[in-house]
Amino acid sequence: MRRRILGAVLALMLVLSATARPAFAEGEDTGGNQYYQKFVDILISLLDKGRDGSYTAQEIAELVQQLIGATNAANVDLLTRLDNELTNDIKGQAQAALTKVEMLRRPETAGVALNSIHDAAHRAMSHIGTVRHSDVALDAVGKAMITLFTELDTAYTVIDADEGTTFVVLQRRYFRLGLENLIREMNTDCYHGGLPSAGLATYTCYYGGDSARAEFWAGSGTYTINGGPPITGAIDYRLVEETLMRGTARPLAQQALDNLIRAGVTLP
Amino acid sequence: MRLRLLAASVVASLAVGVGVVAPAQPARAALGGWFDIIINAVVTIANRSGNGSGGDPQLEAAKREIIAAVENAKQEILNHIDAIASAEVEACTNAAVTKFAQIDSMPGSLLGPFVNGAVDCAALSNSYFNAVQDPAAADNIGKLMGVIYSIAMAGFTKYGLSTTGLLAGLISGYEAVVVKLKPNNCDVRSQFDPEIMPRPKRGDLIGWDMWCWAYNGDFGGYAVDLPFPSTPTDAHLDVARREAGKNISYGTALRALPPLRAVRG
Repeated sequence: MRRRILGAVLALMLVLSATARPAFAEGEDTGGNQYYQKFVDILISLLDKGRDGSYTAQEIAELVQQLIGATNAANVDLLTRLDNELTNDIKGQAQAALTKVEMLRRPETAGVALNSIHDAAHRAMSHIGTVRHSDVALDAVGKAMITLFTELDTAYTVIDADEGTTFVVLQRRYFRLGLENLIREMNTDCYHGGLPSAGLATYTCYYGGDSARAEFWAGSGTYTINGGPPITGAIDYRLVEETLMRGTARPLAQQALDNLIRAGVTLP
Repeated sequence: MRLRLLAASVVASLAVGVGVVAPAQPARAALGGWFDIIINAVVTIANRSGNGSGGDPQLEAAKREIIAAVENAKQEILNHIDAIASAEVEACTNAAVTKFAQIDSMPGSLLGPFVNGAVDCAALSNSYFNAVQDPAAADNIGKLMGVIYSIAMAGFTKYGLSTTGLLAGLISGYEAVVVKLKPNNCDVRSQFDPEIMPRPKRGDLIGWDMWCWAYNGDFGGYAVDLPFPSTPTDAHLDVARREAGKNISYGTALRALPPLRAVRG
């Protein structure tokens, strides 16, 4: 009995940790991350289910179904984000690749769709360097890359299961490389300021026209971020940056990268 | 309130009378009845596709209607394809249209690549439309967009796949057409003449004439009486725009969007 309760508690903890999401305040710009988080969840699920070296037909059907749902939900948001001068180049290919998610339902159509999904994902990855001077464009390309590589990962999984191959192993290394490149380029600009003589210290970070500002008051020994509830202690610089970036592709990229590394995926 | 649609000839004489330089062009032929057949079939496919069960007679009928409509209008469609400025888009649309009639007899080794190519072509036409600056070139691809997407959708039905993504692409494509090709060259004049008419009081009806020109010179007019001090709004101008743009893909998109949006839900 005790073992069963312990099992249930562990299962609940696993569910809670797997579904933990950054909390967005009411009205806060989520950057569409409610859509893109689902792709990271699918990637984690792909890695989990494939840990024993194979997938059942049922598992693959479920993963494809989840991917189709996530893609249909994210489609408009992603294409709107890519609809600017710097990212138009990859928009057409991304649109075609997203539309082809349906073709992953059957191995014979997944095979023909795979090449263009592959091209779209790798094009998004190579576009990181092209748009790295524009925060907004880089964020859009990052979201596209995470979306398309998750679709590609699923496509290779479908093909591998049908053909008995292991192509997905090699392509995941490029996913890791793309995520590392993205995280390296998505930098915030942060500044220390305030009025020490009045007991005020500030730390302000900027990204893509947004900002997060922490104010520490020596008198109270607490600080606030963007006027939020007081937090005890000195300013946690990382928390300020995380607050600023939580609607961007960066936390998603970090989460995806952590999981790939944990699954033993190396660089190409 | 009195609403009336000005006859084109009245607007033409009015335009000349007030010195607007915009010669009336002979209206180009609007897309024929085949276009409505295709949109109706697309709506059926979008409504019924993806339930996985093969042999749905309504899906099969919709696919056949698209094949027949494309075949019947082939010359008109090919004429538009010839005028596409992008070699890439021209090649893929040409391939899709000319191979489409054989879709039911294609072996799997040809069908898969054909469907894949049609989806690529649909997305390509969409991004080409967004990139192209010349309105005549944009109009040309706008007129073909429905055909290209309907071919891709018919291909998806062969595999029992859902067309949700394709439908979203077609809707966003037509929404872009409505924005880019909107006849925005408009003029609005009041019929109030202070020299011969008394100063209007609140609530007195004042006549307004408005007319808009599409990029190709087609124009549409509209007249409305509004209680003073109201003035015409964008919604009033839209009536003139709709008339002006009925023969270009602006009109095509306006016609297609309501049923497509309804089926998307």
